Amino acid sequence: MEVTLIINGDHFGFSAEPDEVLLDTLRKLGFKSVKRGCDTTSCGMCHIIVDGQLVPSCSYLTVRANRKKIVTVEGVQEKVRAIAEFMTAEGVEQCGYCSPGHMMSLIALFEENPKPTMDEVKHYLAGNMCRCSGFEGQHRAIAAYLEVEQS
Amino acid sequence: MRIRDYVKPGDLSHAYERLVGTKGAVVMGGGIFLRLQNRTVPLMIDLADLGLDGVNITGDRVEIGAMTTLRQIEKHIGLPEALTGAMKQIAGVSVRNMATIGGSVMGRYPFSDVIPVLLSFDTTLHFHSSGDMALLEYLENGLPCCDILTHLTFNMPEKSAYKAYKSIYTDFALVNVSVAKKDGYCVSIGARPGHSKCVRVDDVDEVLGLVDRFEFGTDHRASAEYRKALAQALLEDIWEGGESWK
Repeated sequence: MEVTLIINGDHFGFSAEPDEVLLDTLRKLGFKSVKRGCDTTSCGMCHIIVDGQLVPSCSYLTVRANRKKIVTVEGVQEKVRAIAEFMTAEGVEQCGYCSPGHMMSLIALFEENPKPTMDEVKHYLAGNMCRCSGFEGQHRAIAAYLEVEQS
Repeated sequence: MRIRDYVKPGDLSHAYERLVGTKGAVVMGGGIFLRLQNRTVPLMIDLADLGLDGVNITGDRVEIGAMTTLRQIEKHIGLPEALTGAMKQIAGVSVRNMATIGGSVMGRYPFSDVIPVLLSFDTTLHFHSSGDMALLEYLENGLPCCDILTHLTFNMPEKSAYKAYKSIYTDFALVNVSVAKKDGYCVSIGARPGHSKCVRVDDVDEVLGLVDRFEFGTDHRASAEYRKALAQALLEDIWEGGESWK
């Protein structure tokens, strides 16, 4: 089936199988920030933004996304870099595999709610698993980022 | 899941014709469980372009489109707190952005956080071809033939509350309880682990004793005794300061 995706502002036209999912499509097209984790919507590794909505790309059919606007980490590098500096300062990263999905969740949250409380942050990130960090460092980093952003 | 063909109709009648005209065809709501099914589907009918999403409140009557996402419901300020609250711990935000209330209901999932609340509200389902059906009847008997759920309706309860016990924040509930006051009291308990059931009483003093009228089962997640004790505790938690329920 013929599909056109608008990924980070650029148009991509190609043919896709009816059961192909965005995770596979995006990685094939070179958007390697999108990671495969559980492959069943549970871990948040594959998070992307489709038409302004945070979604798990592992279960989003590529044909359903036809003519939709998709954002991956590659398209929001400046925003991600600003948050990542705080993550680095807190020593959050270990393997880093969950980071792109985690960042996409934060980008979506800040679009929806520019001044979230930490309870709102934790609620929003509940679908993002990290098997290295234990989450506390991430929460400290986000709190520090928000403090600077909101001051 | 393997999908041989895919259509995204812009017209409900067309979607229904394709559904009944293609053996083995299925409709797709949010598509969250695509990766959890090991089967081949000859035709996937995507309902996303039918305009079946949205919440409409007219007086006491609430109408929710079948393609309304759980996240839309969670953020809606006009809906009863029991319903919006039940959404908050269903997986993560990304899943709730995709999962639809229609998909949650049509799956008849025993672990559902959505169904106990809708059951306590005495919800009616509206199908394109079959017409109206009470949610309770659908849970018990299913549909006689394939059809498309267009929307669901209920009358706003005077008061409602929902509580679930989950081992992990976004996990399935070990048991969940919903209470609604509307022409008496309706208590529904889900994840027992069978599908949700409800019991209705007129007298407020009978509510706390209702757990004995439900059957509970044992699975790898919890024993029947544990589930029953949890259900009683959740109900008492809801009922704290029960004066306000009179």
